[in-house]
Amino acid sequence: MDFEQELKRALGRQQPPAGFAQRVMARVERRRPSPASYRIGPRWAQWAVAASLIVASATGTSWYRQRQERARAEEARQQILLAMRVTAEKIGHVQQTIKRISLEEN
Amino acid sequence: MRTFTLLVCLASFGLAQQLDLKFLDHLAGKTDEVVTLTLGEDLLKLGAGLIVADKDPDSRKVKDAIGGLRQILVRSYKFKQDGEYSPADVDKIYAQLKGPGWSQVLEAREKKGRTTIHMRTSQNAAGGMVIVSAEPRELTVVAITGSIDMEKLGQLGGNFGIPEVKDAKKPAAKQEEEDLL
Repeated sequence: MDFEQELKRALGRQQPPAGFAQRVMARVERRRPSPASYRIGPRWAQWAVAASLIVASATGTSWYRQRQERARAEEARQQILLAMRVTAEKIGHVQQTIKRISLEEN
Repeated sequence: MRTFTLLVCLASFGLAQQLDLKFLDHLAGKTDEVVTLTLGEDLLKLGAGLIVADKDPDSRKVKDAIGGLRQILVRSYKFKQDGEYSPADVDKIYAQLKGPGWSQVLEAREKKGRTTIHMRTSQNAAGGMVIVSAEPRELTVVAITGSIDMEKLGQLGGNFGIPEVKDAKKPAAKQEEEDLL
C-alpha cells in the first residue's frame, strides 16, 4: 500500500514553479542558431562552389553536344561512303559492260 | 541468274527533289536487302568534314568527288527471286528523265539487264547525271544533286573493293602499257 501511495504522489499533477515557461522560452531563444550559422564555409567558398557547378554544367552540356554532333557526322560519313560505293559500283558496271560488248563486237 | 538493277544518279541543283521515287517504297517489304539514303547538303558537309580528316587516299578521292554535291539519294533493293518489281516501276523513273535538258549518254544493255546514264545539261555545263541500271533481282536508284565531276567520280573506280575497268581480254603487259600512258 505504501508503494501505491508513493506512486500516486510521484505521478500526481504538479504546478510548475512560477516563471518556468518564460525561462524555457528564453533558453530556447538563446540556443536558436543565427542565419549565418547555416552557412557552410565562408561566402567566397560558396561562390566558388556555385561557379564550379555552373562551369561543370556548361562543360558537360558542350561535351554532350559535341559528342552528338560527332556521332551525326560519323553517321553521315558512313552514308556518304555507302552512297559512293553504290554509285561507283554501278558506274563501274556500266563501263565494264560497254567495254566487254565492244570487245565482243571487235 | 536474273538480276534487275536500276540506278539513277542526278547531279544538278533541285534534281533529286524533282525525282519522285516514293512509289518504290512498297519494294522494301519484299526484301531484307534495302539501302535507303537521303543525304542533304548539311549532312554532306558534316560527313565530308570527317572524310577530309581521313588520311586514307581513297577517302580523299571520295572527298573530291562529293565536293560540289548538294544531295544524294539512294534507293537500292536486292531480291531473292525475279519479278519482285514490275517494269512499270522502271518506266516511271525513265518517264521522269524525259524532261527538257535530259539526254541519255550511255546505255549498257545485257540479255536480262539494262544500265543507262542520263545527263542533264544547264548553261553549257553538265548539270545533272542519271544512271539507270536494271537487272532482274536488283533495283537501285541513286540520285545525286549538285555539280558533279565525272572524272573525279570515275576515279572512285578501284575503291571500295570495286575493280577498276580494264580490258580483260588484253594481255597484262599491254594493259600495263596503256595504264602508263
